[in-house]
Amino acid sequence: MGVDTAYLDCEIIMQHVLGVERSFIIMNHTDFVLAHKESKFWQLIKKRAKKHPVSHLTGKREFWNSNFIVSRDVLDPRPDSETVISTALKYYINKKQKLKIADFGTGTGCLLISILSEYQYAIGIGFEKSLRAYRIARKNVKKHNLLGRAKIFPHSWTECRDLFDLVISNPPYIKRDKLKTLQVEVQKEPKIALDGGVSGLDCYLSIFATLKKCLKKGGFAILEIGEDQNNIDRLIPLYGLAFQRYAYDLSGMERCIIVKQVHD
Amino acid sequence: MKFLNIRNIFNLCNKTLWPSQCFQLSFLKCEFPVCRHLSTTAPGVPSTLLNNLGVRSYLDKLISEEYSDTMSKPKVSALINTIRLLKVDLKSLYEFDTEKENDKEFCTQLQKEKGSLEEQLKELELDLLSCLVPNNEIKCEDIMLEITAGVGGQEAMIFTQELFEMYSSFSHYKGWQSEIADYIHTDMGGIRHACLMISGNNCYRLLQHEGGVHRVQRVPKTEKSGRIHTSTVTVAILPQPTELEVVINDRDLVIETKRASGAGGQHVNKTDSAVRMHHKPTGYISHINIIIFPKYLLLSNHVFKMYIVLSGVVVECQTDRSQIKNRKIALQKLRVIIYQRQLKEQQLFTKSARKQQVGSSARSEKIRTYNFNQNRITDHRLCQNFHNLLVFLEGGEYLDNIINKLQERSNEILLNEFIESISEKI
Repeated sequence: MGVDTAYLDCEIIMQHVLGVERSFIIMNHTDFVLAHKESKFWQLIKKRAKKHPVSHLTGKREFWNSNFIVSRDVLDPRPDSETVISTALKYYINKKQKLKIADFGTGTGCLLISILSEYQYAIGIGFEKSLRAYRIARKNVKKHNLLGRAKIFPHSWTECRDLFDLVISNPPYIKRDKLKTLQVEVQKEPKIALDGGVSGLDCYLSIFATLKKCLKKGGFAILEIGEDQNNIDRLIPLYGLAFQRYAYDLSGMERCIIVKQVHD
Repeated sequence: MKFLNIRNIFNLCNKTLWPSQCFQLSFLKCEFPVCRHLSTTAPGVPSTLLNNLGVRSYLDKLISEEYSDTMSKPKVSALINTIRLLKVDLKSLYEFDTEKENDKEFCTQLQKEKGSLEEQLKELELDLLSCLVPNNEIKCEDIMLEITAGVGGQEAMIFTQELFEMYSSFSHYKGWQSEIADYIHTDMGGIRHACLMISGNNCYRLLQHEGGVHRVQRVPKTEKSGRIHTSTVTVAILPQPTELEVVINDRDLVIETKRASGAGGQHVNKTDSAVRMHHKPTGYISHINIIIFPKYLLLSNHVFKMYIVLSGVVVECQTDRSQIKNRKIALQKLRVIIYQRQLKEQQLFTKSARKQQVGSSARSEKIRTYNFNQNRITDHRLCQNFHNLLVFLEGGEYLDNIINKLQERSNEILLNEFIESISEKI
C-alpha cells in the first residue's frame, strides 16, 4: 500500500524544507534547489514512505485557523475535531462573555487554544497527564500568546477541583482490539491518546464522574465521540447529567455529544 | 459627518434600527434634500444613535457616495473648460502659421508647441471620454480568475499552466494580492484547472476583458513529427460578491469530505482535508436579508429568485489547510458562481446588448491567439498583432498595454451606446 495523497504530501514536505509558500513553488518550479536541502527532502520522503504522518515530519499541523506544533508524543489534531469548536460557537453565541473553560486531555492544546482565540475574554485550563504532551501543549500556548489566559496542568482530569462554564474534550475512544487494525500512520501516534479501553468508553465514564462535580449549573460539556458510540446517551442520566443532543461533522457522522448540568 | 442634517439622520435611524416594511416604504418615498451641510455635533442628535453599528456603517456609505459624486461631476466641467482653452490656443497658433513668417527659428518653435498642444488635447479628450462613460459597472475589488484547459489534451494543459503563471505574475506586477484557491495538476506537467483569487484596486475593471477562449498554435513538446497543433484554454473572470449580496441558506448545502471511508475522527490520520459542496436549493427560505441600502433592493429580489431557479452547483476545494478553511473557500466559490448567474439574469432584465457583448465572460468567443512559430499574438477584438510572445507571457508591461487598449475600446463602445440610448429617448 502506497501513500494516498503522494503529490500533496511531497508538496507539503517541499514547502517545509524550503520554507516557502505553495504559490512560490508553483510559480518558480523551474528553479534549482540547494544540495543539502535536496538531501533533506529525500530523507523526509523516505520517512514518509515508512508511513510516518506528514505532521510528524514537518512538526506542525493546521487546525481551525492556526498552526500547531506537534510531535510523536501527542495526538495529531484531526479536522473532524473542529466540530467541537463550531458546536461550542453555536451554544455560546456572545463572543465577549467571560467563560471559564476546561479541556480534558489537551494533547497539543489545539481545542483549548482555538476556543480561547474565539472568545477573547475567556480563560481556560487544560488537563494533560502525559508529561511529554504537557510540554508540547505549553509550547503551543506560548506560541499563540495565550500564557495569560490558558493554563495547562500536568495532571489527569480526575484531579479537577474547580467549577467551569464549559468543558470540551477529545478523549481516547478507540476500542482496544481495534488498535492493531488501524491505519499505519495512526499506529505511529501515542497509544495513550487513542486507547479507550475494551469498550472504548472508559474515559467517558471517568469524565462524566468528574463533570458532575466540576460543571456549573446550566453549563455544557461538548465531547468528541467515535463510531458506534451513539448509545452513550443512555449512560449519561446515571451520573446525574442531562443529555442534550448529538452534533454532526461535515461528512454527516455523529461526532460530538452535548451534555448539560442540571443540578447545582 | 459633515453632509448630514438632523432630519436625515432620524430617517436613517428609523431605517436601520427598525427595518420593517412600512419604514422601508416611507423611506423610499422620501426624497433626500440635497443640502446636507449641518454637522452632527449640532444639538439634538443623540450620540447613542451615532454609536449604533448599523447607523454608523450606513452613514459611512453615504459619505463615500457623496464624495464620489462631488469628485466626478466638476471634473467633467473642468476638463471641458481646459479643452476649450487649449482649442483657443491652437487656433491662434494656426493663425500665426498662415501669415508665413520669415523667421525660421520661430517657425520650428511654433511647430513644436503645436505638436505638444495637440498631444495634450488628445489626452484630455481621452480623459473626458472615460469620465463620460456611464459608470454603472459592478464596483468590485475582488475577483476570481478561473483557468481551464480546453480542446487539445496534454498540450492545452501545458499552455494552461503558462497562462496561469502569466496572470499571477501580472497580478504581482500590478501589486494586487493573489491567492491560489484551486490547482489541479496532471502527472505529466501542466494543469487541468486552476483558480486564482485576486484582490486589488481596479482589478475587475482591467481583467474583465480577459475572459474568453485563448487559442494557442505551436509545435508541442509532446509532438514528434513536428506538426503545428491548435489548442484552447478558457479563462473566466468572476467578480466576487460580498456577503451582503448573495445569501446562501445552510440547509441547501450538502457537504462531503474526502475521506476514504469509515469512522473518521481518531481512527484515521490524513493529510487531505478537501471539502466538496453541493448546492441543492430546497425552495425554503430561512431568512431573507433585509437590505439596508435601497440600491440593493433589486438585487435582493434576484437572490430570492435564484433560490428557486438555481440547482446543482457543485464546488470543491482541495488544499492542505484545515477543513474549516476549505469550507470557507468552497462557500466563497459557490457564492461567486451564484452571483455570476444572478448577474446574467440581471443583464437580461435590463436588456443591455452591450453588456452581453463586452462585459460578459462568455466562454464561447475566441479572443486571442498565441502563435509561437510566428512569435505573434493576435487580439481578435482589437484586430491587431503584437510580437515578442515570450516577454508577453511574463505578464508585465506588454500585457498591461493590451489591457489598456481593450479598456479604451470598450469605453468607446459604451459611450456610443450611451449616446444612442439618449438619442432614442429624445
